Amino acid sequence: MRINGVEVTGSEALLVLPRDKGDIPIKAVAVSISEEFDEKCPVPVAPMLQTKDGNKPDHNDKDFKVAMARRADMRFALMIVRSLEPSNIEWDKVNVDMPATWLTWRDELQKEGLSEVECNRIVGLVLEANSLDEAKIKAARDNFLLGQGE
Amino acid sequence: MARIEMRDVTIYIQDGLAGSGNLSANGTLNDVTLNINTVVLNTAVTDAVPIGARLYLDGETANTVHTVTARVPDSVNTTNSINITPVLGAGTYNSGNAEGAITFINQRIEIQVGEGNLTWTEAKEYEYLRERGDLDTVKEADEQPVEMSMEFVYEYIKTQSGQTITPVDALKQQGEAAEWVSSSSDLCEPYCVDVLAKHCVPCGTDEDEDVLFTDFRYEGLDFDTGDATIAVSGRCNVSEPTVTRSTDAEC
Repeated sequence: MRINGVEVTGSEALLVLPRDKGDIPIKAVAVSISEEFDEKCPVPVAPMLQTKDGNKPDHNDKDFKVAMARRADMRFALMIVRSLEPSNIEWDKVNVDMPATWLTWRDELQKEGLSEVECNRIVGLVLEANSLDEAKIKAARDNFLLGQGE
Repeated sequence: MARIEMRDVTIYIQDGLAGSGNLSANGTLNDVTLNINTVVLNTAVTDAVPIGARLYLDGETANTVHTVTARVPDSVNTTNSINITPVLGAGTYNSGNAEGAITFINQRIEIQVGEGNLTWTEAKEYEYLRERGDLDTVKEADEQPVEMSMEFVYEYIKTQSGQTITPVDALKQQGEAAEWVSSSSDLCEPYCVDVLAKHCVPCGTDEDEDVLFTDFRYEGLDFDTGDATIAVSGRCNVSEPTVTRSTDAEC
């Protein structure tokens, strides 16, 4: 697909972690995971209360609240794992087909020698690829307008 | 002993689901989703986990009972993963050994009673034998099933799985209770359920009391959602209910 003659591609971001034995390039791309995530990790269901006034889900149930918070964490973990696919990381535990493994991505990277700060930078990289950075948008707009002026 | 107030009684209607399985991926604290395999249940499709199934994991420290709220795929086919509530507690969940073992137990609905009554009758029949007209000895005649009836106004009916299962659905194995399993050990017998009346003593040091009516089949049923009343009567395939007293963690 092209827009105004420009081929549409996903947003990308690159981070290179310096190492004596060879720098480690980490590449992240923008991903759309909503459909996959909903399929693999269905929305938690609140307990149902049937009263004489009708049926109503018990959204104040503490277990339900914990499950919802946990699901948000899992969604972010899947986004990280999917975004980092161009980096060709050979995961030992993380398996996109097994939701229970998604949250282990950080543990696994740290176990292999990445520091906590480096993992946080990877999170930043994924966010950079998957979100609209105002500074980047402004730079792109300025660049575009500059080209039109020529 | 304190007088039993029905408002301190919670009634559970529960099926006979049982079976086992295993984690196919290691679990961690606060997990909602469990990847599972090698599931064997006493259901029609033995590896399809019903939504509403309850389970506990060998690796969990607190031995919490969890309820299945969703499954993938969402059909009566081999289940690959399940969502549970509450989330996993502290423990060691290694899929490669016994810590990953899952035990499935009954599905149930919880009825919070407002006011009403629960009665049951145990009957014993004896045969008095005579010798030359004088009473001589006694022998036990045929066992008689427990007759049980309950009639109450409910505050609410709760399903932890989020399903809308009414007591009628549970008693008839219909609607969202279609995947319930008869509580009888002989699945060729007509469908039945267990009814558990849990009396939670709200004060003092008296122990809580559970009265379990095993293999109950209703013979009369009156359910009114408008007035939130239930009246049900029937018989159990046992000669007496199982009564236990303990400090019940669920109370």
